[in-house]
Amino acid sequence: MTPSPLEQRNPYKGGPPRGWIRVGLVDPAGVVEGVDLLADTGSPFLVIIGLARLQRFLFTPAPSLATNYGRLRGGRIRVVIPALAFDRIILGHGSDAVITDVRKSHPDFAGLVGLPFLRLMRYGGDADWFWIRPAGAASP
Amino acid sequence: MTDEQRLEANEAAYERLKPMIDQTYPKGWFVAVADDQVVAAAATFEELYAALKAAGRDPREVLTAEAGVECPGHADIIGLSIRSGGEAQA
Repeated sequence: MTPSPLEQRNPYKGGPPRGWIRVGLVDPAGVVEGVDLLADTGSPFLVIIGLARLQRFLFTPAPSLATNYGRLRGGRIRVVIPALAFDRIILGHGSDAVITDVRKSHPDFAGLVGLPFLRLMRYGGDADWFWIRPAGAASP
Repeated sequence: MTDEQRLEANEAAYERLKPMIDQTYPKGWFVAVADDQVVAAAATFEELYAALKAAGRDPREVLTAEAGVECPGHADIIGLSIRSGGEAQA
């Protein structure tokens, strides 16, 4: 299947099958690392990654927050999705407990994006694929 | 002071200063807290970050927050903890 222009389309992976997206994390020096993030509309956080990765990509610390996974450390991180021309510094969180659970779905996952992140764009899926498009993109 | 101690001190200062921050700065402005006070503020994070660098501060040694944004005391990550079984499992 050929993705539309300005779209990222990924087959589900993991057990149970999970939608996911690939983003670039950019550190303050401009070094980029691509990571796969599980898409979880049940999460009220923009992005959650491991504590070491949060520290590596941190621009500034931000307030932490208590959750059912324990305390999540806050920090502002730069996230890019070149296919969508998406490039923003956003409020991220770090938690190794969350990442341990994320990797039970699939070891490739370096974290998760929650509903607030997905609401910055259009997102959807069908039986085989999960996709994201820019906020202003036309429906399929 | 270790990084951990600095972070805890800045978080405690932010909690204490939050009512003043919300009253002083327009909603959505970004503020930087360090040394028990607001050390910089700007309309965007990028402007705040540039101001911190221009002032010779290490941005990793301050805490930044948005004015007027309420943070819940506790949040649940629901979807991640759900494991499918039975009919729901493909």
